[in-house]
Amino acid sequence: MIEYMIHAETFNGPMDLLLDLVRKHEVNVLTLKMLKIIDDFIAFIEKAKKTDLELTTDFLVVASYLVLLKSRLLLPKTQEEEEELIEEVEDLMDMIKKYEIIKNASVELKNFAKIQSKMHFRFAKNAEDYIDSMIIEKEEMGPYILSKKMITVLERLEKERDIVNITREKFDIIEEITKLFEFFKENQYTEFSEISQGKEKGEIVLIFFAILQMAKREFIDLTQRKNFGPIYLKSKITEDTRLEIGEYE
Amino acid sequence: MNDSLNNISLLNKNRIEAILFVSNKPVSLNKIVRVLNIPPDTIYEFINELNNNYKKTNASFFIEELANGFIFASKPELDDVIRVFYNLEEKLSLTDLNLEILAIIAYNQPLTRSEIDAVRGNIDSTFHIKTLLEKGFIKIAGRKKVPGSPFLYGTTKQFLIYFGLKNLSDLPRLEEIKDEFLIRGDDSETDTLPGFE
Repeated sequence: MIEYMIHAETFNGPMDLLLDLVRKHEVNVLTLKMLKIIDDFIAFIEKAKKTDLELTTDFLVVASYLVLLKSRLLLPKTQEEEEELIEEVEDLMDMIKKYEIIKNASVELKNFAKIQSKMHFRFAKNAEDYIDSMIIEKEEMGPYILSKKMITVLERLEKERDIVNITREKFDIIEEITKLFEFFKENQYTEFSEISQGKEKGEIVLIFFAILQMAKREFIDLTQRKNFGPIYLKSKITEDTRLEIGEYE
Repeated sequence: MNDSLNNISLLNKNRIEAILFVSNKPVSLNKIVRVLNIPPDTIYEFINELNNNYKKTNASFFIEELANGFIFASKPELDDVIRVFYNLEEKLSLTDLNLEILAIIAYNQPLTRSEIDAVRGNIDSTFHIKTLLEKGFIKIAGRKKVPGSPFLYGTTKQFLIYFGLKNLSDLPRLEEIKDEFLIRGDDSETDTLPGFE
């Protein structure tokens, strides 16, 4: 058994541990190698438990799979089952291999980032912001400097607070219904896009609500043949129909 | 005739230099091509000449090819003084695990979360994907046309800048599978279970 505890904190997850174990066991026989890896994997988790090392549940998920795999490796089986099992182990090894390639690539990328971090560009923000304005020479220090610094800090705080004014848009559904009511007194048919044409988004929504209300009160009939298709409006207003505004208030 | 040609190329070289000089992010090669109407090869030539001039005069900066464009950068040797003067912290803000997932995405993009998970032994990467999205290294690059249409993830321009890559094909090449990593026995007949032959 090999001691792994030194590395414990550096494993980036169960695949990382598996990769480490695959590298350590130089056994040519695939299934034998797998059995050794599984034993070490379980041993690692046992040790981690004893030393109160916190492992993510990911390790346990993989461990449970490995225990199952081990039992299948050890139990007698038919030729066919055995071939299947070997294929599965090969797939697992392939997975670890792919993981190794990615891991190496990520180490390489880290080096790239390190090199790049040494080169600096023009600041997107005001470069002055980055200079530590709190460094003051001893002899300069005094109440005046302090108050000046305070003002700078306050100014900066002010600047960083983004103030957005949102004006409330005024829409009046009763007014819209009244307007449409008058419209449908004169016109028998129309299409939604005709009455909403050229209007702003908020207004279109308002018109839409208004026609829903009107349909509910049976002032008009709405027809739409397919999703996103044109909405046809047919007036049901007769001379006797009265618009009772009070209901909407 | 030759003189006027020289003048034009000198002018264009100056133009490129000025465009890059005022910018605080990489200026795309395509944009320079479009605006100045010079072929990319010539632009590369000019930038090489400019960089050679800076080198000759021992300038403190150079033009770096980055994220499908160019940008003025200070020389790496001057990292220390800039860091101290501008109160900059170490830029590496990604954990090894984040880097691993970023590498999976960079080399296989676009791909879905479950495809990322698969490379890591079917371990959930949701949290790390969220971190990478928040930090701006990856973006949602569409949806896969499979049941559930899951999001596809890909890397961003900021990714290229952070790692100093000219473009995606500038990624470090994935190593060929090493010999020492041959996990299967040479003789396939040995691939039977112990004690079960």
